[in-house]
Amino acid sequence: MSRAGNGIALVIGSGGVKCAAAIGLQRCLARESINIDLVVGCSGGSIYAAAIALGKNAEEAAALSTALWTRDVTAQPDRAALMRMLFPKLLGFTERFGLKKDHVVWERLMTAFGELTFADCKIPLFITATDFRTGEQVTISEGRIADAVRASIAIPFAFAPWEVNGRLCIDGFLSDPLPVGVAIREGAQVIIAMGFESPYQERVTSGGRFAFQLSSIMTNNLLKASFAFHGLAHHSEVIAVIPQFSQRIRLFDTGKIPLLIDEGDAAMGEQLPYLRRLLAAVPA
Amino acid sequence: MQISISQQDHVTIVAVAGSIDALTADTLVTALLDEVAAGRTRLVAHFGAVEYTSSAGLRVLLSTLKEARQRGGDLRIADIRPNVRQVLELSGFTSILKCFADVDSAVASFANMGGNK
Amino acid sequence: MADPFDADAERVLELSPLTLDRLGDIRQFLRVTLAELGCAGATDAIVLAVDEVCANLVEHATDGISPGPTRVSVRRSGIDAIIVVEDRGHPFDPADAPAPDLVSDWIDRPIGGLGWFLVKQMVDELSYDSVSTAQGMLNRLTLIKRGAASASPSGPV
Repeated sequence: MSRAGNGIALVIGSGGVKCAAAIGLQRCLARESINIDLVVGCSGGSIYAAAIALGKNAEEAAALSTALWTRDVTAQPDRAALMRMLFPKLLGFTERFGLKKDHVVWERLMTAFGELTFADCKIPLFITATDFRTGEQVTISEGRIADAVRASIAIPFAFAPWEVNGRLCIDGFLSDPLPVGVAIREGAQVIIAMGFESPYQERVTSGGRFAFQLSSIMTNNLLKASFAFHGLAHHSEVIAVIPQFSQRIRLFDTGKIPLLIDEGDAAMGEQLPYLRRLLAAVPA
Repeated sequence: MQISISQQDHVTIVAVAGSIDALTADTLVTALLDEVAAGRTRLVAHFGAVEYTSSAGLRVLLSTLKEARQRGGDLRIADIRPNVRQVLELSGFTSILKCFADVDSAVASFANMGGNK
Repeated sequence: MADPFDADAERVLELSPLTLDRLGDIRQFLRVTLAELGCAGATDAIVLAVDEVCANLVEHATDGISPGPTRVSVRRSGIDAIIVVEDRGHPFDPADAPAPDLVSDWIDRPIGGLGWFLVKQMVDELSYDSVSTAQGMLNRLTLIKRGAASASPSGPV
């Protein structure tokens, strides 16, 4: 790792607005005077990873979150895009396909991050996306933060793929929903990983729900397999911090952000004794 | 399989030539772990002349990685042939270790590693 | 001399015994044979798969001694390559078997299945059967690489 420190990395996986729980996690660590040395974010997690790396405090990060995940970001189906999906040959279907109107989410990202780049971060930041053509994980650690986040959250069918450094990128969760490997590769000692399982449908009543259920099945299996592999490959511990949400949280339920933050804080609190023991054992 | 070891800028370069399989892996892992045990924990494995590796080679890389990292160092790989690279990718190893096109960039990557090992 | 593209022609390598130092010979045999059979493009994949299988045979020999005479055969069926690894076995006397090792080295345990994972990635079909003969158990592992004769030389998969 390029910085002296305990070598603690925080990895925030995909999970839509649930990733706001990472704000609570960081708040808990800050209270205990435990510093994070490196942060990795994927999909929704990339927003909070960026906020933490930029040194935003819990209130600022929460406000950023609320401003970003509004219904109008996700509720604008692009009618022209829908027609292109139904009549590909006639209307020209390309790989840059997305059902939602991009300009709203891009405006929100520019409002949140402006022209800030990775160089403006206080600690190393890594954001992951997926190469649409090869399926490989793409790790972004330079350039504009807004571009990296936009690439990382490019949910297939919802948002169009986004080009970064000549690679057409889609949502990071497709290559690995919880990119612990990046932290391992960067030399982290103790890795705190906050990941979320994609929810299963209670009833499948539409094509959309059917597709979502399949996506959840594949994503969750990938999450577990990848986490198991990385846990075994790492020379030190990977601590999984999994908040218990007492209520059902829908994908963009920003009203629940304060609850999410508290749950994240509590979940990290439960792991504190173990974390302290690990930090005592790791050579400085 | 041949191994030759040299130093460059406080980094130990282990150049391997030939095939790494279940027979030759033991020799390689012993050479690498000996370096780590001697305190030379910043390692670059120069794979330019490695024609082939099986899972035995992957196990060597993993155990060396873990030992080096536990001591604050790392193992990085340089100049990997396409067929060897494909095995590393299939098994998920490219997600846990750093690979470089050539030895000089691999050595240079250790420059901002903290500590004076 | 057999026509190299004769679909029924089979090339065989006998190893008696099969030991780790023969792995290089097996790989070389496969490279030469697959080239002769017009399957050069699938060479990397098949070589890796068979290496893993044979290394596994040696390392997990259940009675603590090398596998008996082992036969690696390669033939082409249409555009597919079929490789059979037969371990002829030898009479097994339970009294000779060492106590099973239940505490394997930590280095092997976490990714002990990595070899088999690679085998499954490299070939399209894998089947196993065993036959009891007067010489002991005959264990046969058949690997099929579909389209081997049409693959372009671009890497293992």
